[in-house]
Amino acid sequence: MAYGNARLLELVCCIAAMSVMFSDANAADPSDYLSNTGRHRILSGDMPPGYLGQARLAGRGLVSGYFQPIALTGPKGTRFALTRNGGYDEGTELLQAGLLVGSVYRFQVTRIPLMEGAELYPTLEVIDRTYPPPGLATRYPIVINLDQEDLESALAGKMVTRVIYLEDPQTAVPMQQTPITNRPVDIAENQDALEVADRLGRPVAIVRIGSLAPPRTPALMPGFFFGFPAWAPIQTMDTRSSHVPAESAQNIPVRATQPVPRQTQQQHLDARSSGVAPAVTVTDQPLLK
Amino acid sequence: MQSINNLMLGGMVAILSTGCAFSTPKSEPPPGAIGRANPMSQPVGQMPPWGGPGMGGPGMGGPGMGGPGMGGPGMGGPGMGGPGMGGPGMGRPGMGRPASSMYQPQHGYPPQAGYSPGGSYPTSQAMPNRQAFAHAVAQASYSSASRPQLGHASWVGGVQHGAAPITPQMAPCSCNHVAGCQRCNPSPYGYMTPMPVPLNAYGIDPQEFICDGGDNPPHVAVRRDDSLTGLQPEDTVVHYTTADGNIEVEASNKVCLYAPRFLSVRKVTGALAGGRAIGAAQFDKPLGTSRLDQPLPRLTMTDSVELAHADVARRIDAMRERVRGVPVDSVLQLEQSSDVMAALVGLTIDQLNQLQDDEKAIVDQFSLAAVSWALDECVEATIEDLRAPSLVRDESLQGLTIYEFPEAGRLRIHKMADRTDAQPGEIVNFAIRVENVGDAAVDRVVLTDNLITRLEYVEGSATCSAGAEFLPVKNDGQSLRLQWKLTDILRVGESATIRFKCKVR
Repeated sequence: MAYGNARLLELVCCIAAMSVMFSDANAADPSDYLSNTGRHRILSGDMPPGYLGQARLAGRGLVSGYFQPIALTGPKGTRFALTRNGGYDEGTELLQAGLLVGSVYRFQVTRIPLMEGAELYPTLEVIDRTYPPPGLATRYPIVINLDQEDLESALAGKMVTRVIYLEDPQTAVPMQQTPITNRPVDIAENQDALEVADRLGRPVAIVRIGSLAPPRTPALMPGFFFGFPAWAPIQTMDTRSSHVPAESAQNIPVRATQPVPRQTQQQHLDARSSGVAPAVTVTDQPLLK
Repeated sequence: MQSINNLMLGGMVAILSTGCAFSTPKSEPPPGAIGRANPMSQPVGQMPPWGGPGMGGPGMGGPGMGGPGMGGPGMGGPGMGGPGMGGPGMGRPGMGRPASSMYQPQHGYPPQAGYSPGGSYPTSQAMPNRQAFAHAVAQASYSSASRPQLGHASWVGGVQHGAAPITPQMAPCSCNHVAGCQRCNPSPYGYMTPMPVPLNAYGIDPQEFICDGGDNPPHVAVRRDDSLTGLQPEDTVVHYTTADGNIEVEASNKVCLYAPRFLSVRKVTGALAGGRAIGAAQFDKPLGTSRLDQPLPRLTMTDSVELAHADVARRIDAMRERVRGVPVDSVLQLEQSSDVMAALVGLTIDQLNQLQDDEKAIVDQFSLAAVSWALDECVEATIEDLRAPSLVRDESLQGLTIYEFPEAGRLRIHKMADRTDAQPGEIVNFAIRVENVGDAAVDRVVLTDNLITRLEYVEGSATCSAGAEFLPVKNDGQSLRLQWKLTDILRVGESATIRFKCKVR
């Protein structure tokens, strides 16, 4: 008798579990791309760093292991730096690096205008890659431009989330876009930045700027720096070191068919053989205008 | 949009594969490892070193992955690109050769002038600066993706950055007992050969290209007033009138530039967010005067009060009764009546409702008469005179008229650009060549280029090798619709070349 009651109880529990499981079947319909509530169905820009990149790695295509070139700029004088040997170097005004898709990077922002001594440690998460033609990867990085308002808001204790997306040329904004005039699309708190970016193009990166500072405990450092993911520096080459005169070098249009000057190649090889130069890439001009 | 759709689906697959869809946050590792089920993306500090003996080197697990300590001896040296990272013989002995039969070349890029996806690749001596620049990054991706400990081979960057695809048709170049068979031109620029992995099927994103030219549906048609309908942005067409009077429309090829543009969506949240008061919180300026110190002079006021309403109840104090006379109509009646029945003497009562027997004969007579009168018969005759129809066919050849039309002229339009990629703000030179490849001259040649939104026509840059009337008109894409109307007839073999410049927005 007791055995029968146990079997009955087990059957009831099974039916209840199945009813609960099937009651939520509508929410898992993949055809319902965007919900009626205006929120992204599965992913949103408010998720913690790492979620979106991990979802991209598990998604279509093979992007893991690819170093996506990015270019980070900000207000004039602001310097950006990525982790190096567990710390930061002086930084540059134009930070270019190849970042792993799906990884989260904690970079440093210093020398903020009108904010002497202030430092910020935003995170940068590359959630998708670009597919440039051969030889154009570093010439067309993902351009991320932070303005003064971003930095001031973060220093005021706010959280700034920027979702960088690849603009659809069919619905492009009909105006000149430069790092100076590149204004973001400001949205309200009740909106999802990822969803808005998804409607306007293809989201490729997320920058989260807060006021979090590095911990003093060494044990917390890997967590703060998200495990120190690998990145590939991209270094611009000074055209004056080339055998091409500086005047004529400025007039030469940047074309993919131009050969590397012999001296430049030699410098490149020397740098690799001596192990002095930390950078692995060489170009003939600044990547951004 | 499609990419995020796929991304979400991938995320769903990942969630379903883990078996616990929404329980991840409860047992999530520190922030660096949130949502990282893949050992590939685990934080270095929380996972075994990537390289292992001879691969990652001692500097892999510690902080400073991108710094000099990142590479280690086997990884590639300082900063992912130091010694051994991009060297000519860097990874081949250790990484092994891929099976070339599994290696498929990358799919072609959108058609564009001067770019051939399956074409030959430059050698290391002719490598341009940017390519060397890019391949170093691609090379960095080789090393990280080709670690055998990770259990997967993900060579992606090398394909995108121009490493020469090894086709199965290529024969082995040399063989020896030490290094095995080597293929000719196996790894341009001295990079190691990627692992034989299935290539990324999503290697092209059209959103990264600006394309102009062609005739996108709905196709262009010419109205009666010589205006165009169905002209979409990007369209470049020419319409002309042939010698036999037909109006033909010919579309050009599509020219694509690699010009991705990145924008961002910003959301500011936080404890202080939402504290922006929409209305004014405080008014510092008082409204009106609080005290009047200036005494006002006395005013004389005349108030006249009139009786507004009065209720007066009056009683009847006197009553006068007046009785009027009642009119009386006097009706005189007969005083006497006599011999009343005399008036009824002449009355006769006829009873007709009863048929007597002697009247039946009369009725029968009259009824017969009525019948004979009612039947009015007469002789009717119909004559039909029909003749059999006859069909006569008399056909013969009257004459033959042959209309001879001249062979129609046909135009070929080709659009070209002087570059295959452009940054925002850079100038791109376009050339459109129209050539008569038909057998007769064409007239009224009108060439129309509807620029896409991100192409801005440089004013005054349009030139034409033949006489033409240039008409720039603003289009729906906030750009210009450029139109050239050739003033001359385009004879057989003649051509006209139009050049103009556009700035990439």
